[in-house]
Amino acid sequence: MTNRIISGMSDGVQTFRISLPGNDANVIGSKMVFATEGEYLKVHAVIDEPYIRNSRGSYYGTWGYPDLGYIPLVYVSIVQASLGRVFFPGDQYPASSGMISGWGYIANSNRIWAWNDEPGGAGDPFRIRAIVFKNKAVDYIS
Amino acid sequence: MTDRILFNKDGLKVSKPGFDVNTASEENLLMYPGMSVMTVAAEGTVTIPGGQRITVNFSNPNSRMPYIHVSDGGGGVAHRTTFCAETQPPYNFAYIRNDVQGGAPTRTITYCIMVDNSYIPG
Repeated sequence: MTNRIISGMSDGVQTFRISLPGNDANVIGSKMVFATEGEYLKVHAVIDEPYIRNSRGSYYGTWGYPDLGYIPLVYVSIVQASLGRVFFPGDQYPASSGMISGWGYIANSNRIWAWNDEPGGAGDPFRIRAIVFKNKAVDYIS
Repeated sequence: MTDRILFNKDGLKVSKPGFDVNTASEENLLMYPGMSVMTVAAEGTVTIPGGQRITVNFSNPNSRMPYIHVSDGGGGVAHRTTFCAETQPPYNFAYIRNDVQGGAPTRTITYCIMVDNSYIPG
């Protein structure tokens, strides 16, 4: 039977691993449910909220989440609400009437700010859809 | 040696190397009870002619917004002017798109679609 859970020495390293069915946990290249050699994207919060147009016709907003004490890795998408489309990576393409071009965002330990100083595409309202990870942003900056 | 694995009545904790699992804060734990983690819902490598896209269907029973990573074997940078991925509610399919660039070359694109079905807003 395939070993699927290891807690201890394997190939000279201390490890804890759980492999997927049919995969040997002793082999680091196997598909794993969990391995101490890995890092995992852990979700802290999901934002799916309206993106508000201000009196100048541009858009802005700020959205909070429980404080982490550090700047998290975030994925931010601003999309025309009626379409709901989400692009990876980003949504900044001026040739698309369904998206806002030239937007930006800032994240800190407990809040995201996003803005666009030019009136958006042909259709609105827009929505912000974002994933806030528990992972530290600094760990993913090369 | 630093304690890195802890089983107790609450579940299982595993800390990052160099951190004591008994005292480590959440960001220094690799696993902890109630952890909300993204797992791979679909992945693969596809060759797509310029001007075309493929559809990848995947299971996402709670309709969580996925996170999708795409890369090009040719070293190209993913962007909406080159190649990208797109999804829409209820987030159970994704387009891997090589149709957003005029005159796009055939590309070999590797994609990974991740979904967190355990996330509970709190």
